[in-house]
Amino acid sequence: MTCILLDGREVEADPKKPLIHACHQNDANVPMYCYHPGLTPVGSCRICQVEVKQGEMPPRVVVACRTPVAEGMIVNTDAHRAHEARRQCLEFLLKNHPLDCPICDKAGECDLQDFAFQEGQGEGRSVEPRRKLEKRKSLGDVIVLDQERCILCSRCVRFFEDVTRKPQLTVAGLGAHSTIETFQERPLEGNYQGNLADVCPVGALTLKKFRFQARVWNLTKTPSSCGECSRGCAISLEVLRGGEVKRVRPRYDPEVNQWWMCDHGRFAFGAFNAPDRLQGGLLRGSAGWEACDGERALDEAADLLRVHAAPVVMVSPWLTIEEGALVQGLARELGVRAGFLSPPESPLKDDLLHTGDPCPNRRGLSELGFEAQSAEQALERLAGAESALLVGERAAEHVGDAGLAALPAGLRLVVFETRPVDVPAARILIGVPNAAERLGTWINVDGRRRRIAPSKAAPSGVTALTRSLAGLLERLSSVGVER
Amino acid sequence: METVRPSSLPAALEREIDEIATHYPERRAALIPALHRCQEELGGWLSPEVLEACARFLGLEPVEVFGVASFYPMFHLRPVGKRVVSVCHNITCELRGAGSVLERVCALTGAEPGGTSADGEYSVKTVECQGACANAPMLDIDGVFHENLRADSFELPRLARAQTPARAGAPAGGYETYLLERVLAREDSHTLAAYRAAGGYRALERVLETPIAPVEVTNIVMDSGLRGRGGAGFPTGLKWSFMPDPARDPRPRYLAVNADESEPGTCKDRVLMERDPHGLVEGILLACYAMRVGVAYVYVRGEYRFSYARVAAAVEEARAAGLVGANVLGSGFSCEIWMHQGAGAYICGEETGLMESLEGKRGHPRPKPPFPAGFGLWGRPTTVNNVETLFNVPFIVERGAAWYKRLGTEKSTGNFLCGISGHVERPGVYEVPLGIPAREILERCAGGVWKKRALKAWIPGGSSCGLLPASAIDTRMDHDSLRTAGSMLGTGAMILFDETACTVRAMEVISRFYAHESCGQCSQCREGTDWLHEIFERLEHGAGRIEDVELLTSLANGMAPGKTICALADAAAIPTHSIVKHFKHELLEHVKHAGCPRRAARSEPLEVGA
Repeated sequence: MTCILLDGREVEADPKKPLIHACHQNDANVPMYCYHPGLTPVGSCRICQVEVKQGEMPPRVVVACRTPVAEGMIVNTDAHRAHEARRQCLEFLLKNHPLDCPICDKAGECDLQDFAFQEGQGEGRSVEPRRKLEKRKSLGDVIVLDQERCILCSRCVRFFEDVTRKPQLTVAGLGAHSTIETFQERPLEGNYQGNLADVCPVGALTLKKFRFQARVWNLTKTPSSCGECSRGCAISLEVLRGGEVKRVRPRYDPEVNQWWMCDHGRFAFGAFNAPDRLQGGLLRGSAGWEACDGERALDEAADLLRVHAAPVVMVSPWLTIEEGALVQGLARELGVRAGFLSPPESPLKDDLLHTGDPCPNRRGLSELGFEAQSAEQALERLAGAESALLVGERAAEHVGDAGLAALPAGLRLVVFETRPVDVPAARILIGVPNAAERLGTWINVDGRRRRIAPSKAAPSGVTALTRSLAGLLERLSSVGVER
Repeated sequence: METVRPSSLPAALEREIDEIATHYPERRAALIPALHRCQEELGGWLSPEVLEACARFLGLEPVEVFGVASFYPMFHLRPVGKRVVSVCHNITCELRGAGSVLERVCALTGAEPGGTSADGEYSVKTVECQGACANAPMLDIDGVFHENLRADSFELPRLARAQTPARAGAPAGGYETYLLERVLAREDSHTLAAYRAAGGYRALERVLETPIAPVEVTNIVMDSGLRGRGGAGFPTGLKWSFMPDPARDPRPRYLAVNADESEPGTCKDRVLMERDPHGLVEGILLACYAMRVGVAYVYVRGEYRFSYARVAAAVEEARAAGLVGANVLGSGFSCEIWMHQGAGAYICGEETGLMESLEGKRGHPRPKPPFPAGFGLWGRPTTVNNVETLFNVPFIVERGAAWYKRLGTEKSTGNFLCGISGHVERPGVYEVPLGIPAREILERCAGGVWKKRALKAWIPGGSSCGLLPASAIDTRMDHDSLRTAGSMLGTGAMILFDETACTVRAMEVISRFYAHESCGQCSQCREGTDWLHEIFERLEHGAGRIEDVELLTSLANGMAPGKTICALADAAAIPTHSIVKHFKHELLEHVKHAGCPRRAARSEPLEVGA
């Protein structure tokens, strides 16, 4: 590590990274547009200007993203000349920038807004008409481009060059008439397009799915993990006023997903907002389903399991290890071996993030002793059983609705799920929170613990699955529950 | 015209591109030459199918090739007429009647600028400085220059099919000359026979036969005080010494010859390339020998087809004579020289922009550090030198540093080629010693201001140096004197404005150039060059405001010095400062009169100084 003096403080700087990295690591708020720690630095936006002094040379203003750190370098990020240079850059960037903030999705998390507020001059001096370019250019299913808002930082171009390694965007033309384009209006392809909306520092590249959906300051953001594959990318679950999940974005995790996530994971959050929820419990009576509270449903379930011993116990691939430990406790109490539904490999597997394994907790569940079962194997076991426990969000879909519906009515199926599973075999249904509503841990493909956390409340009447399982175990065990 | 199947180019073209690709360590570097060949062979434009086929053939994505093709003005991404007429509308041509030329071209063809005639026969384009300044005004039709046009009487079909080689002006006399001696002596000065008859390649032979050690050659050049003639004036020997010791860095290394001559007013490298290409070849060989370089690329601006052909022919003559290629003259020193075409972007004359372009990319200059000697072409040690700079080297090696230092001044040694143009009697390219008063070049070489008019303003070294008032005409043409006068030597291209010229109109044209040529990377340059042009345009055409005068200065201060990746922003800022400093009264007049006061007195179109 190299020692530099940054705004009067001695700090350690990584010599393999440019000066701007050391500034940001040490809370020196140097603005940036073209620089992104995950992309090749180009030094073109010129906003990250700081003053440096080296040796006997007079201090000079440089762009921090292209300045290597040197032992003993004296850096002043607050120098008047640095602020002047940034102010002037902003005036140039804002000269043609459309006044779209009131309708722009990026408002509230826009680097142009933020740095203009921090460093800008408040009023531009241009009386020239603004450039007119394409404002709603569809780049495919995921992204829409507003060329007028673009500040030509080229992060989007470099994202495809550096991260997915297949160029799809280019700067076309030159000078003030440059625009971002695909080739021949072809839509973008691949499973990583959503990252463009994250890397774009302004509202030029935005998500179609998020367009006009929410003002970002009304979103509550909760750090969590993605469950769509065993990578377990670190995410931020973003909920509008306590209601629906409106957006999922990646969080920086240097060991798992860096700054990125795939579109499959990014856009899967609709399932968390599904209105079709099981609240409390449902008991099959002679006249159809009878609603009851969770506690009563657990009583009925315990009775059923005492009478019809040796149930098949099958859990969802989305089960957390906390939930899994309790199910294993139940399985031991019931004298059976539990299995987990193992989904087949996904064709989305790639050499970037998607592991191809749709099970976010395979390692966790395997380590707990759950036996991997394909849907066919699970159905076979269920078909021949007297009673069964199917546990966890997405358990039913992983067995398959058609298969479940075909199970004999004589199978006394107790289901813990997010939605009602109205099939002839089901006797007792108990509602559970989904992955946006509960706390828990998964173990990802590399053996790392991935934490999910609640970003919104489960519907009323729904209790945490851990609590329901503990309640069931307590009812069944003669000596009380050991957690 | 051959047709293109969706996925491939015609076989002959593919074979040609394959051969070109062998000149480079990476296949992508063949892209711009390949695009030229595709455009020439496949209908005069680059359709999306052609772009895609070219991309696949070179192992690139179509979007990358589109991004590159769209950067360079010479590539047409829309269909064009059977013949393409390009009219230069930059400052010198403007001073000599480009407006009338353009009008006449449009009238003769029935096409508008930027458009194609209804019958599909002609497309008309306005282009920036083509390097024909000493013979302005000009037009280019299908790649052939037609210069010294009589704006009111030329006929397109009757224009000659072959280009006339550039001419050199006769020296004023009274000083020693060497640069243009061979050119002035014979019409066939471009041939190997003529070159050898005049003593050419003796310097190279002596170096190889003695032998003189490579570092010694560098020392001679360093001692001579030779400074770069491409505009920056950096000491050449010193630049060569930056190349690493091959023992410590054994990677392949390169010399890139900057023949991108595009600075408005500059037309002197052209004379050397067209009329004395062997002088350049020998300079290249000596430079490569000194820096232990085995491969040189000659990056010729795309519009200089005739220069390219002459230099290419000279390289082939030299190759046949054992002077280029493996084991030059049996010495063990090998040097390959490859020709490379640019495609119409001024910014590719910037050394790092040139390297990016040569690698087959958009000509985006690179931040420095790292410098080319450490990280150049394909990341390898590279030196970039201007044509005229290299042309001086054989003379220095042959006659010695002491001889060279006697010419010019102490800090600006040697002679240089002054291309003098604009409102003068005898525009031309003249050899003069550094340090000569500008007035002497004007009066003794160029015959003084034309039409017996008085001088109003002049540019000493290409438009990037800015305007100087007539009162500065006695300034000596060397680096230090011009710097003291508040300007620069630049490329030594003098442009003169008579008393009827409008400096605001001049700045409208000059600022348009920088806005057109900005690569667009840096925020200040991309927006600033455009903004400066918008302001000058308003001032000239009637919507100028008093605030604009101060705004010009403030914007220019925000763009330069040293605030951007390269100096194009500085090149736009310096002339802006100069008009405010020396001709503020003209700016204020334009505000007061709501436009050019001279414009009101005549009918459109305004001929500057006509």
